[in-house]
Formats: sequence, structure tokens, C-alpha cells
Amino acid sequence: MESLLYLYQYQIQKFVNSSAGSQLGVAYEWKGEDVYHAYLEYPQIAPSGYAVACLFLKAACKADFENAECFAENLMNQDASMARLGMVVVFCMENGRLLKRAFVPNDSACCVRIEYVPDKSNLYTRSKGLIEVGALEKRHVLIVGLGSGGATIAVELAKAGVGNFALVDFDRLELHNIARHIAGVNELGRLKTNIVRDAILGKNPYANISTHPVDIMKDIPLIEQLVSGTDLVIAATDSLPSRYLLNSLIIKHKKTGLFGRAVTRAEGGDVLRVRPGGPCYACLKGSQWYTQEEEITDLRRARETGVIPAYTSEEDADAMVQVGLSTDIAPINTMVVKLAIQELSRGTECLITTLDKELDYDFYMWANRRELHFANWAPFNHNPGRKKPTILQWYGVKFPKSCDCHECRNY
Amino acid sequence: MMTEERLKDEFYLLSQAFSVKQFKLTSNTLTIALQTNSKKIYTVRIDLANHPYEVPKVFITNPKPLLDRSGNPMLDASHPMHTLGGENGCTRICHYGASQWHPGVYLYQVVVKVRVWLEVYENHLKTGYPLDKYLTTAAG
Amino acid sequence: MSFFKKNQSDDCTDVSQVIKDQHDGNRGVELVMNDDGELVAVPASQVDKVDGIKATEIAKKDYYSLL
Repeated sequence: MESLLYLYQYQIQKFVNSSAGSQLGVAYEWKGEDVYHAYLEYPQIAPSGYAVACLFLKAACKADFENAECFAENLMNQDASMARLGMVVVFCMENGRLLKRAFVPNDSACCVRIEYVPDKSNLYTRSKGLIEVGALEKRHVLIVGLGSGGATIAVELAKAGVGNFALVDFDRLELHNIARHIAGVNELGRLKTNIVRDAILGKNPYANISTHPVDIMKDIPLIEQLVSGTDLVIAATDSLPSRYLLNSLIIKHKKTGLFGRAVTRAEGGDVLRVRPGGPCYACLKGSQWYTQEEEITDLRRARETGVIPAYTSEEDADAMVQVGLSTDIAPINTMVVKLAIQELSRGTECLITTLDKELDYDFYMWANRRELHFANWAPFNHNPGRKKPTILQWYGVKFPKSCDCHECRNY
Repeated sequence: MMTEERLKDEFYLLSQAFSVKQFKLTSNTLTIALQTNSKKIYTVRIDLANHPYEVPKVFITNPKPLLDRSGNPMLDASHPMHTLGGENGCTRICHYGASQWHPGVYLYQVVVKVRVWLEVYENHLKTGYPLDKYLTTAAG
Repeated sequence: MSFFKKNQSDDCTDVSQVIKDQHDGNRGVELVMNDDGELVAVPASQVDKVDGIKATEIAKKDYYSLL
């Protein structure tokens, strides 16, 4: 029987280079799976599994290294606090090479194979791909709104190698979020900022993340400071006032922002890119293709913000909450991520030039289903003469900046 | 929340539509006296905490509260009467809807909608018809 | 010129009716708010010759150009 043990390389390096001959840590076992994760420091994200004491030892010589089981047995007999030791990891330097092995005390039948979670420089060396490893490491993204859009986008950007994040959302995870959010039932009640922080760290333990569980409408100096200090703003909030505020700050500080949303019951969605010199969110108002009929996913929030007016009955209000599927908002999230990577890659060698023409529009529209505003769109594979737009395809739109727009006319 | 530039623009537009003696504008509040065709005068207060990003709250501070034709205070949210929940004894008017609002809407536009609302309110007092007989959306 | 004959009609009722007519698509008459704050009804063909704010279009038009 073989067990698998994961150690964090940077923690082991610290231990080996220290003067300590031993250190007590903790190993978490995925119960029944014979998989352990052992730590010498408290982990950055809440670990999963059944916790057992884990002893880390430095053997002075090869003989001690090979007889560590006897040492552990004596220790457990002499020291009551060690009686329930669940794992022992032993190191020994021999001819400049670090030997390592692990065992479960009093279980000679169990073999333990050690794997490392590599340090920062090697984390993604096996995942060489379209984007050069480390290219986006210095980039910073501000994500405001960590619901089913913002949370997913954050994790995807972490996977792409973005190394710095500021996360903003005042809300906690509730039951109605579970169907579309990256978090599960075990995280109910947690602040969304903490959930997403942990999700990012799960992909990149070395990411720099600041969390801000605030309502930006009530702390404008803070959000202005965050906008001014970032490379890219992702506006994934569910309220129009907060988006208008972000729009103003993005323009003022000459940043680029991406605004993604789903409409009504996520039968479609769109993404707006606000960039210096271009049209802004306020310019979009009144455009013929733009509707303000947002998807309403949270009854309480809709009442608070006035999207559902106070005089609407409970029955009518309930009918207005129409939540689309997670797969319906996935294309919108994906487009935001693509545009984000394109923006963050500018000025680097890893800019994906084969997407330049496609990712140069101000506004992108997507229809999931032929319903409501998309009812007259052509079916996916039957569009004679291509006279109508079709569903399940992105359409890019360039539209002019409005010279009368109070928000951006001076910029 | 309003920038200095926006405040100046708001003041300019209001002063084009109304006498400066009629209103007082600060970054937090607009207070304005409106007279209907019947020469009745109403005082209106508009709270500007998150202006121009959010629909501002509009209250009739005098008379306080407004009464309907049956003499009942208009302090509840009512779709037929185009009111939202009143505060501190003042009737609150429903003007722009959340989805209609954007930062390009200026306060004088809100005030004109209130002016229209007041006229239709007086019609309600006279005829008993609710305001939504005439106002298909928020006032105007 | 105003369609409301003050001595013979009830202004608020007339004003309300104009608003309703506007929403029903009848744009023959427009409500304009004059300098005195009075809402007067003006034939649509003459609205552009009259000073004041078109009250019933206030929700539908952007007035950026006034700045």
C-alpha cells in the first residue's frame, strides 16, 4: 500500500537551512484516500482533511536516516505528547544531495511517496503554453464584485499567471449563490473576498492579494485609491450605481476597465471595454443595442437598490428574479478573461497577436438562446445570406465616444 | 459624491429653468419650491448622497405629509400613486426608475418630473383618479 | 398660446390629460414649462417657437447640449 505525501518546497528549504534538528508540524489526510499534505507553517488557505501530528527530522548521518523508525518509536514511548504521531518525515544531506523519506509510525506495511509543491519559480514550468510563464506575474488586477462572474474571472486570471490582485465585495456567500459560484456549501457564510482569495492561492500560493470587504459606494476614497494603483479593473458588480462610479474613476485615472453582465435570464450578455480615449459606460446609454434589463439574481439586493421598486408585491418581485444557468454566464466570463489577458499582455512579447483583430472592439454581445431581445436572431446553423445575427456567437461592436457624455467628454 | 464641476453644471441648469431664489443646492441636498398651475406651493427636497450615480431620493417636505383625496397620508409605497416609502413623515416620490437612471440625468430633469407629478397629484385630489391613470411610467 | 383656458377649465385635469395623451402616442399637443414654472399646452407645430422646457419629453431626451 502506498501513501502520497505532499510537502511545500519553500517550507522544507527553510527547515533544512535552519539549525533545528526537528520540528513538529501537521499533516492533513484526505480520509480514506491515503493522500497527505504536510505543513511546517500554518497553511495560507484552510486545509482539508483529517489532521495528524507530523514530525520533521534532520538525521545527522545516513545510519540515523535509515533507522528513523526506531527513533520515532522511542520518542512516542517517552513523550506522551508524541504518542499520536501520524507521520514522520526525515531528511539527510549526503554528498551535497538532500535525501528524504517518510513513514507512518508503527505501520511498516505502508510506503510513503513524497512529492513537492514547488516554489514560486517552478510552479508553472510544466504548463508552458500560449503565455510565457511569469509574463503576467507583475500585473495587478482589481476585481470589484465577486459573485458568479467576478470570482470565476479571478481564478482564471490566476491560472493565466496574474500575480497581484485586489478583491472587493462586501457580501457573504449565501445559499442562492451556490448554483453558480465557485464556492460550495462548506463555505456558506464566508466573506466572498476570503473565498476568492483562497481560490486564487489554491492556484498560485505566491500571489499577492489584498481583500476589501466594503461597499464601494460608502468608501469612495478607498476604491479610488485601488483604481489608481491597478493595471486593469474588472467591474463585476450587480448594481448600476457602483458601475457608474467605477466608470468615472476608470476615466479619471486613465485606466482600462471591463464591464461584463448577463441580461434578464442570462439569455444573453455583453462585455464593454472602457479604455482611455474611447467610449465609456455612460456613452452606452441610449445606444440601440443596449438594454438595461439586467439579470436579477438576488431579491434582497434588488429591493435595496431599487431595481425592484418598493411598491412591487412579493409575488411579482419573486417572479422578477430569474437566474440563468452557470453555463449561460460562462461565455461572458471567458470573454472578460480573454480581453483582460490581452490588455495585461500589451507591451510584452506574449501578446496574442492572432487575436488582435477580434479583441479590438469596444463592446461584445452574446446570445445564449433565441428569447426576448434575441428572439428574432437566426438559428445557429441556419442563417441564409447571413442577414441576421445568430446565437452562440460573439459580435464585436465599435461605437463612437459620445461628445456630449458628461463622464468622458473632457478625457 | 458630486464633483465641483458637476455641482456647477447642476446649478447652471437649474438656474436656467428656475429662479435662483426658488432653490438651494449643496453637494448633499437640493431644496426647491415648486408652484403648480393652481398656484399651490410645494417644497421638495432631493437627497444627493450618491448623485449622479444613483437615483436620488425625492421628498415633498411641505405639505408634510401629502394627503390623498381620502385624507390618508401618502407615506406608503404605491404603484398607482407613484410613491415610494416615505421617511420622517415626508412623502417620497417615484420619479426615474433604477434602470432608466444614468449619470447623464441632471437634477433639473428630476425637478421637472416632480413638477409634472404634482400637477397629476392635484388632479387626483380633484377627481380621485390615481396618478397611474396618467403616468404610464415614473412621472413623465 | 395655451390650450388651457384658465377661466373655463381645470388646469391640473387638463395637464394630466395631455400627459396621458402623450403616452398614448398622441403628440398633437406638448406640455411646456415656462419661465414662471407654469405648465402650458402648446400645439406640437409651435413648440419650437416657444421658450421653455418640454415637460413630457424630459424622461426621453438627453440634455447634454444645454451645457
